[in-house]
Formats: sequence, structure tokens, C-alpha cells
Amino acid sequence: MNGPLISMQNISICFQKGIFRRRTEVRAVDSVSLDIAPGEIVALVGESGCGKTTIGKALAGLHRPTEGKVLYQGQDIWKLGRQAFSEYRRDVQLVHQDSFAALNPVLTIVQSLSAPLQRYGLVPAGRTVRSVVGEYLEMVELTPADQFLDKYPHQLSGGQRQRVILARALSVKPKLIIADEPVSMVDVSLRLALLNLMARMNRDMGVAFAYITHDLATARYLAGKGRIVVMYLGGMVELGPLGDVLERPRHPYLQALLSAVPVPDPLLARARKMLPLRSLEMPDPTNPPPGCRFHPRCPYAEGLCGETVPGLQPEGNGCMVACHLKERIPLWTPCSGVSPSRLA
Amino acid sequence: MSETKHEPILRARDLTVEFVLRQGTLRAVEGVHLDVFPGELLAVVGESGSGKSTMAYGLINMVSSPGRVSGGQVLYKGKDVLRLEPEALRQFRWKEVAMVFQAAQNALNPVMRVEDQMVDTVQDHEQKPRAEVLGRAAELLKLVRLTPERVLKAYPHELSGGMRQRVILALSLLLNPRILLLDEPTTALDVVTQAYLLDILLEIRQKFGVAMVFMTHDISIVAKVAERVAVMYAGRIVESGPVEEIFYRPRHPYTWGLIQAAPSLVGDLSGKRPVQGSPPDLFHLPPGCRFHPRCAFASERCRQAEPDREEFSDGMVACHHWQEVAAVREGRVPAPATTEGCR
Repeated sequence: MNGPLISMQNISICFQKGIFRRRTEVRAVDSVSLDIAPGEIVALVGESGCGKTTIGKALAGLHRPTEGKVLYQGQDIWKLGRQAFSEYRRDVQLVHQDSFAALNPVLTIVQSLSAPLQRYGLVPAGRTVRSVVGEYLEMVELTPADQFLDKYPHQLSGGQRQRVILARALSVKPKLIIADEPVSMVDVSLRLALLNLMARMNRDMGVAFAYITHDLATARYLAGKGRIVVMYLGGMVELGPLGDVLERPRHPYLQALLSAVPVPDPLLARARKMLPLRSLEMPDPTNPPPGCRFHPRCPYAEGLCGETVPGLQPEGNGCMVACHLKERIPLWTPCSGVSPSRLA
Repeated sequence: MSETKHEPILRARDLTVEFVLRQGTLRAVEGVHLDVFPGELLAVVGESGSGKSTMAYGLINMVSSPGRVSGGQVLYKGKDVLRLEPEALRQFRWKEVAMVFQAAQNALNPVMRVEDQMVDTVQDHEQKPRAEVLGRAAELLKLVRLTPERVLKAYPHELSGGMRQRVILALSLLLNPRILLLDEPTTALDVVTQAYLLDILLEIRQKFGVAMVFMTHDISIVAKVAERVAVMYAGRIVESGPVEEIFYRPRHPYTWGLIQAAPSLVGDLSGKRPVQGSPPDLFHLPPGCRFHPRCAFASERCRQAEPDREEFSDGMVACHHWQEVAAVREGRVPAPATTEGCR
């Protein structure tokens, strides 16, 4: 199969806010198109309110787009029959930020993990569910599995619970895992281990990942060879191969975001300068500014930016940028003249 | 070095905070020594449950039931904060040491305008006319990049989370405290807002000479702003020192582990590796060094005896094997087998 695994075609998702006469519409996602190929890692990056979680839910079939289509293996997921929809749901798994909320607190781990295996008939003849669950726990490095099978969620640490969730997602042999901020509630010392685990699931089992995060540094770690999509207030502002995009950020928002990311190196961190924005405040998403949504904060904005929404334009090297002024915007180097000597 | 230059204004010695719970007694903070020098920015780095917030509460004698300070001293300008009379303690808090709590966005009174909260705060401590307070408030709000005319008249719900956070910061500076305790001040903020807040903190420190104790779980954040760093693990400070020493020449294996586990936007990622294992349950602390089950350098000695504080001119470390850690870091000896194989 050469086509994309899943494809969003020009989707917009609107929510109703308020009641009766004061009802307003919030456009959480505005005309977004994105393909994810089998086995690919795509990082969806943006700050709160950019629509990244809504996109994740649309990919998982939890939000029906107000406009546009989500195609899974070429089929519109909202026109699938029961059987096919169930298969799609099995193939596309969602991992949330809050691992505690994602597990039933009164069920043990083995009980929680048995259900999907039995639901989809994934227990081979002659084997017990328990042994299959144990195998998946070992796969996510919860070893020895016997120590974890009969525990309740509250008896595990955040990192361990997130591993259980990954094991559960993995147990139904998915093709795509949508991981929505999977490490942001996990202790810093344990984050890398979880990212390594996801990288291994991708490498060894060919599972594609949509990694949704606000953290560019973890996105770089996990999706180093994959693609990145940068979002701002419901729209995509830049996308492309992660290495290229982070090395030569074109959109002023991405430049600002990159210059704001903390760097764990004192000399380098002090030498880095923020791209000065015109406003600190994110506009109200229920009432987004006209034209380019970033223009009220953009240090380069001109007349046109406040009038027309810039479309994503291809850059040639596989990158796309949505900015009217992209040809004229200087490359922002957070610390010109300073080489990352200590880390290199 | 800095110790010869000036005296600390706040000095905690052997500070221990206990929580008496049904399951037993839990020591959230144990035997903490901490010095805060005038005008410095000291970062306290620790994961959840490491005791950094509890330590901050201990520093201002604000541990509430079922917790209590069960030992040690906190000396502020020579006086023991833990023995202050209620009225003296009330004056000490906010006037001498102010604290910006975690999730401070929600610390404002929702039914009072910002200006009234500003005036209330000041008049609770000293007699000052309203106009004078508001003048100072406006000045501080400008400093934190807010528009005073708009914000002073606003109710908290009319402001965004990031704006409320900065209102609290302005509020904490109203009485011109000498020390500001900041508990995870940037955690709920977006990346861009966080970077601006860090710049604002640096500016405030420079302008008012207020010392700051910045508690965070994220070691990456402190690289830019901190002068000194203290690293906490399971209720103890395991290492402290100047920020460059902590990042470039860490002595404690946990500190080194945290730095190696911090993903970065710059540089090579091949040297990055997670710290193995999980933080301990404070009810069932491992014997000996608390970090030993996760430590590649652990030996029999670590399993039996808790390491003593080893003092240096510019910091301290509590590890039996800090010299070996240094030797491995500098490439003089190969790493212990488990560091290579750790997942």
C-alpha cells in the first residue's frame, strides 16, 4: 500500500459555546489537511488552544469534523459500515496525557488489559489472557509482569501507568497511535524512557505515531527523522521534515517558539535571545483576529497580514509555510555567534 | 566563594518536615541545609514528591496540619522563624519573604477587583493611603508587562491565566520583600509566556535586588536564570552549587542523570538517556542512600549508610561515590556497566 494510512482533507471543527442567544461558535481547527503514512512519526506541536488535541480526536474518530473528511486507508471514516468502523477504531489508538483518568480505578491491570484482547479475539488458542497481558507488560518493560498484573492503577507511578496505557494500545495491534502529551504529566527523569519505548514500538512494530505536544524538545527527540506540524490558533503555520524545519524555521511564530524553548545549558541559554513579539497575549480563540491569526503579535506584520489568511505554500524541500512575508523574513538565530560547544 | 562575599539572609539548618498520617509518619523534607544570599537567584530542582514545595512552606513556617516542622532552624537575619510570635510571623510573611504559590493564577479572590486586593494586601501590613498603594501597584504592573489602567479595575476572571500569574507576581512585590519564593511559577504557562516571565523575573531581581528561590521540576528552565542550583531527591538536598558546576560538572549521579535525561533543541541527542527506575515511595524509603536503587554507581556502602554532606567552597554533595562520578564524567575511567545498559 502506497497511499497514506490516514488523511485529513481540509477539515474544520467548530464547537458551540454558551447557551441560547449568547451562543457563539468556536473554530478550534480551521481547514487543516494532513497525511500520515504507515510507520511514520509526525509531531503535532503548538501551545494551548492551537487545536492540536482536537486534531488528535478527529484522527481517532472522536470528533466529527464540521467540514472536510478524514480518510482511513482511502475510506471516509464517517461513512464506514459498523464492521469497518470497528476495525478502524482498533487500528487507531489514542493515548492521553492523564494516565490515571484513562484506567478504571477499580479494575486491576490484568482486568483492564484483558477486555480489548477478548473484544477483538486476540488471545491465541491454548493461551490464557493473563499470559498474553503479561507478554505485553514485558514489552513495555514492566518486568517481571507478575508484579504488575494484579495491581490497581493507584499502586503504580505515573510513568508505570503510562506504560500500561501503551501496552493496552499495543495489545490490539494498531497501525497508528495518537499520543496526546503522553509524557507531560510524567516525572522528568522518566520521560525519556517513555519516548524511547515509543520509538522502539515504531521501529520494531512499524506503528505510526502522531505525537501531540507543546514541547519542541521532546518532539525533536522522538520525531527526529519524522515530520513536524506546527499549529497556531487552529491552523497549521509550518510543516515539513523535523530536522529541516527546526534548523531553518520560516514562520515568525515558530521562530518565536523556538527561541523561547529553555535549553539545558547555562552559557547557551544566556546567549539566546527571544524573538520580540508585539503582544504577550494569545488572542481569544472564540474571536480570532482577521487575516493571519498571528499578525497582532507578529513583529513583521504588514497591512496584508491583517486582511487575508495566508495559505500553506510549498518551499521545495518538503516544507510548507503559511506566511505572506516568508520571502522577506530574516532567519532568526536565537544565539548568533554562539556555538553549542558544551552539548555538541 | 560567595560565602566570603556576604552573609546569607535566610539560613535553614537541618530543616525536617513530617506528615503524620494514618499509614505512618512521612518525612517529606529531611535535614535540609539551605542558604539564601541577598539578591541571588537560587533554583531548587526536584521531581514531584521530592519535597521542594514542602521545604518552601517550612522556610516561612507555614506547614499546616497534618504536617509539622519536626526539627531544625530557619534563621532570617539571625532570628529563628520557627519561633516567631504569631504577629511577628504575620509581618515576616509577605513583608520580608513573599511566596508565589503553584497554580497562583487561582490565588486571587474572584469577587474582588485587582486594585482592592492590592490595597488590602498592603493595608494589612502597614498604614498607607490608597492612592500611594495604587501608584506603586501600577508601577509594578507595568514592570510585569501589564496595562495598569485595565488590570487594576478588572476582576480576576477577566484576565488570562498568564496575566493573573503576573498580577500575583506584582502583588508579591508590593511590600518590597527581601526574598521571593516562587513555586513552579511557570508550570501552567505556555512556552512563549514562560520565556517572557523568566526575563521579567531577571529584570525584577536586578531592579529591586530581591533574592529569589525558584522551585521547579524542570532543570532546563533554570539554566538561563539561576546563579545557584540545589537538587532535591526524596526529601533531601543531594547537591548544590553554582549553575555552571551543576550543569557542566555535576557531582551527584542523580543531577547528572537529570541533565542527561533533559531533551534539548540544540546539540547531539545520542548522549541522552533516561534515569532508570522510579522515584521512591516516601513511606518505604530504601535503606542507605535514597537514590541507590536507581544509581549506576551504587555499592554495598550505598545500600547501608546514608551519605554525609560533603562541603565545598561553593556547594555540597551527598554521595559516597562523587569522586568516581567525576572521574567517569571526565572520561578518566569507564562508566559502570549499568549506565551504558540503562533504558
